[in-house]
Amino acid sequence: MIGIIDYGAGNLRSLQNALTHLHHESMLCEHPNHVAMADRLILPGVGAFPDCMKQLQAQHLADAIQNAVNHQIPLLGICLGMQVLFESGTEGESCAGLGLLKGKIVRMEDNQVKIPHIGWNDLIETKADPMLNGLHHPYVYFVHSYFAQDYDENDLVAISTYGSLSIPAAFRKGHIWACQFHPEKSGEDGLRLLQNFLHTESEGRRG
Amino acid sequence: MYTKRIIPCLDIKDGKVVKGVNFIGLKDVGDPIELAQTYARQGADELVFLDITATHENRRTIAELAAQVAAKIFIPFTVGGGIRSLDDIKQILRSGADKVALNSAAIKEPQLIKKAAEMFGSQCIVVAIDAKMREAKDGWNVVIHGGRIDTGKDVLEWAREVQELGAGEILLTSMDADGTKQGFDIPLCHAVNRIAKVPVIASGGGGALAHFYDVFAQNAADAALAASLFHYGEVEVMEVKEYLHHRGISVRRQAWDGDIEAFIKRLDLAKQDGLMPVIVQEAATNEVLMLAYMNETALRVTLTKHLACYYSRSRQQLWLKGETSGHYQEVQEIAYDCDRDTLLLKVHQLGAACHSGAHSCFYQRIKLEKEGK
Repeated sequence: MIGIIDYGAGNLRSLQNALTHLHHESMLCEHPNHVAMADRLILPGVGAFPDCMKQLQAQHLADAIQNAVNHQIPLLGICLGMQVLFESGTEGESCAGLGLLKGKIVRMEDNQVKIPHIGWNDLIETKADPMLNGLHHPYVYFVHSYFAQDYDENDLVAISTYGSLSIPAAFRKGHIWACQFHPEKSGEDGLRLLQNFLHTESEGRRG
Repeated sequence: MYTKRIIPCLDIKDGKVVKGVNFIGLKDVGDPIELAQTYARQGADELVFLDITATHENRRTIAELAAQVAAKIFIPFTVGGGIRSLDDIKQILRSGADKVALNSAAIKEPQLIKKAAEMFGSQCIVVAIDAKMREAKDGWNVVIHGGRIDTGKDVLEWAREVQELGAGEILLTSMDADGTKQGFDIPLCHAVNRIAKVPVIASGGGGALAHFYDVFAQNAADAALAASLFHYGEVEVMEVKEYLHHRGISVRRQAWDGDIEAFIKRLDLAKQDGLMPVIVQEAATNEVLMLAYMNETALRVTLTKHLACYYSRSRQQLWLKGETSGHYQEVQEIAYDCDRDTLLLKVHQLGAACHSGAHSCFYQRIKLEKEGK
């Protein structure tokens, strides 16, 4: 069962629809007990970093996610759900993230292009990774104004370019997957990436 | 590289797609879900659904439509028309729409933009601005109600204001160009795009491939929207993209277009030990002709020669169909299924598909006894 972390924000319907389309059952996890039942987790997200973290803590979901990750449950963070996996964010106020990936989230600055970065961009692979299996020069859909910096290069899977900016677009560190773009809104290419995540070996053990 | 977006727009009335010329003389052109799926397949980057009846009773119809679209289409889509309150917005977004477009409600109550952006995020709030050139020809005014009411607001002023309030995108329709198919209103789009900090979607007037090139080449918009042009099949989304690509405009292209390696990479050949079942149909009639298998080499030959080549399991060798009989199959179209492990070939069959001489291999029938006899 795929657990979608529900902290009261964003369009979860699209993600559920995409999973259904790929013949996978999913459930919304508003409570730590729900998280504990899932053998794979997706942390979606739209909104602001501090609000998301506050809500994850208020619902005791932050610890539940940490616990699941410790038990090797595969986790996929999408957009803001990717950003909060890092150590800290600076959206509005400085705020600690879940700290599952090394790096911080900062505002994108480039006078030559519009911020937010809204629309389709192509992925440039920085290393061969199961995340991008079956994908050949994919285009994916982005909506964001902040991006990851000071990350561990070893975790990086793909980037996109926007103006003078190099946007870290996809990360994988073991069973932690993360993408800045929205795979559930990126057509066939996005569905394929989701499918790759769904087919990755789950070594998750619940004690 | 960041790409310019092509956005088909579906005008919806009572759950059906319509498109007026200058908003008068509506004509039914089809089922919204089917049309939306077609556009997605053709490579549309986004879709916009505009409820042109926009009455309160229709709010539920359009929300249901949004839910159906969201279940079948995995690209972003916007719903607009008659959205008046935070509750309306919530209902549409909850149904699965990615964005809502606010038009006259935003004019009447600008704070709605601010409240909506705060509650749902700027990324899902599109402000639609309908613009009409002033009689003095010194600029454009914002008009509402299909152009019937001039609000007296200057378009550039309003564009600045909606950005400040939190609009995530501006959908800019030229009422002077709309329905004319004479090209996008470039002076208008350019003027707005110059001051815009958020993406501008050009709308109204797109009637030929060159119009899309013009609006992008002159840096007048980030995306271009058109309706009737696509509905009536005059131009396909893919055609627009190929046209733009060949003229140096960056667009999202489906990676397998003519790219054999990319196409093969997408398929799940490993699932059945390197063999993939292929259903073969006569292109003109959709008659099912046969079922055969391809391995990777057979598929490469097929894609290169545009003649069906299979792998014969009994002879364990490649089998270019028609090589000995002359009954070649000229390939018209190849599709793969949802699991990427089965192919559908539409062909023009020369002679007979079946070695028996029958046009289709499925010529022997079993009579089904009806129940209750």
